[in-house]
Amino acid sequence: MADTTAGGGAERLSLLRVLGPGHVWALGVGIVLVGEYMGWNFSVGKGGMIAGLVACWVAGLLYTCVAMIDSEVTSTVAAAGGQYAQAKHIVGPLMAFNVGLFLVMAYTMLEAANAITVGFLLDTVAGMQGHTGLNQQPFIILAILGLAWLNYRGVLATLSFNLVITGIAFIAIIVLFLAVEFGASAVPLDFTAINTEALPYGWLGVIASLHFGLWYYLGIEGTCQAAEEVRSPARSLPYGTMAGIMTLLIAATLTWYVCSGLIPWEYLGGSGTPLFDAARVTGSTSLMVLLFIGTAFATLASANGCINDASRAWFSMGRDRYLPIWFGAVHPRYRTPYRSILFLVPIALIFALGAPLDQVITFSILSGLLGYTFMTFNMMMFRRKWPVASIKRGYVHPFHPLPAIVLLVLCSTAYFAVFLGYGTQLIAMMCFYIIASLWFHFWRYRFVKRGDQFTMPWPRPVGY
Amino acid sequence: MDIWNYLEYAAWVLSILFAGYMLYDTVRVDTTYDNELLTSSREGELELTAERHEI
Amino acid sequence: MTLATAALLLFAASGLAALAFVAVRDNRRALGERLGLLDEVRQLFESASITPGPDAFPVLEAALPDGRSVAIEIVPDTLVCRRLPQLWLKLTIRDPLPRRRPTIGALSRSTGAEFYSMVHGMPDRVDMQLSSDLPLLVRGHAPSRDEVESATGAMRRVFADPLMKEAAITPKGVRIVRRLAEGSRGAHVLLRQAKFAVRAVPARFVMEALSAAEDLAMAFEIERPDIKARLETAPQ
Repeated sequence: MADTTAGGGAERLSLLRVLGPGHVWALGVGIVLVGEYMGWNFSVGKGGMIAGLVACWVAGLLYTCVAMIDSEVTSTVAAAGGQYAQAKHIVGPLMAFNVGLFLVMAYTMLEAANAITVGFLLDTVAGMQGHTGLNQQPFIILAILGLAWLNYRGVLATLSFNLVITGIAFIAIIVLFLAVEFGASAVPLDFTAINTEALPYGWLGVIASLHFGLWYYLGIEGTCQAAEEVRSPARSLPYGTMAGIMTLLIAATLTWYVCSGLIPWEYLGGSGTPLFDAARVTGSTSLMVLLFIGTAFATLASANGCINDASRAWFSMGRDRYLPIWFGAVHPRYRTPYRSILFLVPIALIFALGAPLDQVITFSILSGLLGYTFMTFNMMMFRRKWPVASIKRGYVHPFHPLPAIVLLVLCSTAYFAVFLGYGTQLIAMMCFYIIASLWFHFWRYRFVKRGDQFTMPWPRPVGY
Repeated sequence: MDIWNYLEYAAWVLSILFAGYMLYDTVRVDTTYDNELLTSSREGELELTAERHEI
Repeated sequence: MTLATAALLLFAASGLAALAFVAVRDNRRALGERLGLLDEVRQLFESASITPGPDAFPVLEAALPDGRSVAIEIVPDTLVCRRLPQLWLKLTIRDPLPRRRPTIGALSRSTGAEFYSMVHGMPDRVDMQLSSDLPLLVRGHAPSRDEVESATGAMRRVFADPLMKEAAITPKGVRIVRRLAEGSRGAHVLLRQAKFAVRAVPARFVMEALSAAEDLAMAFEIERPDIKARLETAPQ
């Protein structure tokens, strides 16, 4: 994968790009690590401490299946664009429309959740200094509008933060763990609840907690999948993605360990910023500062990525005519999908200001889950229409159809988990997507230029 | 009035500035450029760059 | 307000100010560096003028000795979801008078978000299969079978280059879009920044694009059958 365009210097730089430390951090930090800083703890509220840990590991299994399936399709469909482009090629416009919507909703809700967390964080800090009842709204709004502005300005607004700063979000968790392990905490780790109240809601609670267990990893398929334009299809296991999942698994377990040990599970289940709260319990000011920076950075970096990805997905749908072409405009100066960026801001604001954190997270998780569910059907169709020998695949994932089946079973369990306690949200989301699909089928489909979207030089699919 | 009140006001002001900038710029671009140019690939047309609209 | 709180706030404020200062300084520097991207390319032409485009990337315009004009632009593309940012070199050779040739364009790995491409604006889909690996969108303005066949050889040669994104020919001129650089993965994944490891476009890169454009133009030059024949028998 040599980049020979810009001479010897750039070649050396491109090699560094692959092997350098930035790549390692990039796997864990940014969009996905924010799941350790907030949101996952609601799983503890639903099922207790042990349930939270089980949810973490089961979700890891789910995401491993996602990674395997996704890597095969990504390495075979040459055009970039993630699951959206894949659906266009393998299934068709209606599926692609839904996948696009899943992406936009999952990321916009994640952005709203990040903004809410920023508000929580500042409220907590203000409270620690004696100013109670901080109005969180202006800070939530500023987080969203400020990052939207940055995205709007596109190529004219470049940031180059030192990697040291960006690494803090990951280091902070490790430092907190080590500090607590070596006795830096005023309050010692207390796991007695494991014996006394292991499963306060029984096994049903464990299943229910899977709902929020997904939050640890949500978005990783996007992070590790940042595709190149010209790809030499990888034939081996997608090490980047697997390394990312391993990193998250470790970070998630450390997070669970520290937070469950320091904070009683009833309080942990309702906290807005669990890691920061754990740092507060230790009583160490430097730990508090570190986790404050970590939380702030992780949430803002994540929100920035969400605005970017959601607007690109909405823009693509406009360009493909799944949505009015009006959204497919490119700013002549900043080279950004400015109308899409602007359109999604009020949606994020409405949810960030109007809905509580756990519900916003639920909406995001549901959209993600729908995407993973369709991945299973897409994979089956992909292998049936174009069997292994018929087209050149990069990575061929093993044990098919086992990963797809496992993924489907885990997704179904997750839907049931969401239903336990958030049934209204589940039904509301389903209605939303059904209505959107009907609208697309009966109104938008006539504008779609189907032939243009399928450009892969594949043979006719089996059965057509 | 302590520091947090000031920060709240600052946040409101900055938010309004950011929103205002984006809205103003969007209206400006939408009225200056042909919608066809913005949404299609007409920018890819075989015209010399000198013939493009100036900002 | 206690001393400790004041100190903490001061620390936080100065930290933020330092970050803001570094961010603005780096931004200015990055924008300034962009303008020098085409400096090496200037030497390829007799009288080239470089002006900054609206996005701070430079635009080079020059005249060729045979009366045609050349325009080279650099286009940053961050618009595809889940793809690294790309930096495209857009080369346009414009003929002073319209020539007798069809309008045909080919776009590789089309995602629909190519705002810099002419191919999406062409009315008719053309069936041209070049290789079993490359997803290609070929469109044109009602080209005849002969015209498509004449173009196929040149297109095959042009798209043998993996960096080639678009090749189009019209009566007014030729367009080549070739990938100059890809954004750094770390910067993109962390903060969705587009950082390209390119300080100056090498003259050789532009020459390769120019020769691809010439190849395509020659496919329809009946006045130079010797060159056309030589190109067609050249190893592919």
